[in-house]
Amino acid sequence: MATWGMVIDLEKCTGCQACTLACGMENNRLPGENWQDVIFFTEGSYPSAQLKWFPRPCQHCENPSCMAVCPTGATFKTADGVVLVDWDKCIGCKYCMVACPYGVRFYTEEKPLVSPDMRKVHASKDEHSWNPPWKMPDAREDWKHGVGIQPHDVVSKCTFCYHRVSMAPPGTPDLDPQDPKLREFTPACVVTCPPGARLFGDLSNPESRVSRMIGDKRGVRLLDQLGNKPQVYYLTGDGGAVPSNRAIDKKA
Amino acid sequence: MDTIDSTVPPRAEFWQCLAQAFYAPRGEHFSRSLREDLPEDLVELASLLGRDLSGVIGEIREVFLQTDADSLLQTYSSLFLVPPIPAKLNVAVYLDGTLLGPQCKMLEKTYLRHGIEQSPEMHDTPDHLATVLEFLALLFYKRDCVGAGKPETLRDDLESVRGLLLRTVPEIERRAAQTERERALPAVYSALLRLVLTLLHDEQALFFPAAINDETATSPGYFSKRDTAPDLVACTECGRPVATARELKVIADRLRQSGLPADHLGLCPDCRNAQYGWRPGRADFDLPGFR
Repeated sequence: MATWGMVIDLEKCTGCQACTLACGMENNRLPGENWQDVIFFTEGSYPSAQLKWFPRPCQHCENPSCMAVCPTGATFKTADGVVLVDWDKCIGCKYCMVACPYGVRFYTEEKPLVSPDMRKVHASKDEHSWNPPWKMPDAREDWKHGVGIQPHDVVSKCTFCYHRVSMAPPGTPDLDPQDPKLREFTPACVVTCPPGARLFGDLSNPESRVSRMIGDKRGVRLLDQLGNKPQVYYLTGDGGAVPSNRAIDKKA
Repeated sequence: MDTIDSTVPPRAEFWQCLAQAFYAPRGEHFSRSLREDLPEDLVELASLLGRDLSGVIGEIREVFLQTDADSLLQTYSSLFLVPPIPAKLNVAVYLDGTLLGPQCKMLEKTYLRHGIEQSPEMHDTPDHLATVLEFLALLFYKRDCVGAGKPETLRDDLESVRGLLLRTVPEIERRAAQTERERALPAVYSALLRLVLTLLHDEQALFFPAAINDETATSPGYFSKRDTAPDLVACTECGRPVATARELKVIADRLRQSGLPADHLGLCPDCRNAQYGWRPGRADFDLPGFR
């Protein structure tokens, strides 16, 4: 069984947010509810301030805080290493949102992040929280794995496009969007990334491209000191560390 | 026949009565009580609660009137007992996919927290619908009679049990209705399950009666009402509420048990980015024309 993980090359990422948009379209996200968020921030101060960006999906941790605190077992980890929310079990207590140190979870009934409130513009007449004009086919909706348009009062998060990844042929080391046979099984953000900054593959396979890139290019994990052991690795180039670790992992 | 116990609060009595309908209707006396007394009792109790359910329960009464003891037992057996069972009454099965799964264990723990242990006479798992509904009745009894013991825990447990039922009863109802149609059985149990669902959705009247005159009643669920809880802990950065003190303690304990840090809980999720160095840009430089 594979252990799916993602590698994001920060030297290649241009902050274009195509991943955010692709994810929103693929997973029917409310505008502003970005499972594939790109954070923009500044470093330094005038006159040498720099605008920077940092793509931050759910880290699909090996030891997830969200799963540890979930009172109903709605947050769970699949055998192939993906952390998911079972919307049938989620009671919307938001414990996971408080506990997750990465801030990558969203609650349906929050105040709308952008205006107008699309939940009212495209109101749902059934148990779904809204009825967007674009939708994945009903057959792919899977509330047990947090895929599709969520019901009211549940927490949602990135699924690594579980509806795609779970259909990949067993034993596949990498889901490379350049390979036409594997493209449909690859997460939407990886397929769409214009500079090809994202790789997706089996972390448990030492021959996979993701494993080799992590080894060859000193892949680092976000907030690694916390012990959650994310399965998203960042390649930061020669002297880099992910922004949160920069003060700790400073090159001498 | 006067079957209502006036010493029990009507809300608890209501759910207790409804729970009886999902036990196997064995024995002439029990069966007759179900068919003749249950609809009357439910209508009467609902009126005590200020709800008019005569229309919904009228449907059930009609079917009961046309059903004798044998056909009621046969219907129950066909739907819920005889393998392959078309509609299991073990609610957690629909979420766990197996008997005695995590949801069932969670229920068992909740029962124990309220001093309830399974009787040896109950030859079924703790997630049997009748047991869960009886437990709901007990929670209402505790809330209305015992009063100020652990009101917040009670509300949590009420909402948790209700959530479990809301997620599972629709599937049982669908299966029961389909089987009743296919096997030409009296449509009594699908109607009863629809009644349970109606009541579970009737949150303000049956679950949070005090909330009817409360401004928080318009919010969709209990957990959305957290913003008005009395013991909210504020974010140390922005001052907005993070969670209640009790919830933070529970979360911190669970994180520590899993060997994970809980230092970030003092900040709301929105303020943590800044702590990690992801501070959004601000025009804080001192140049003419800028503020």
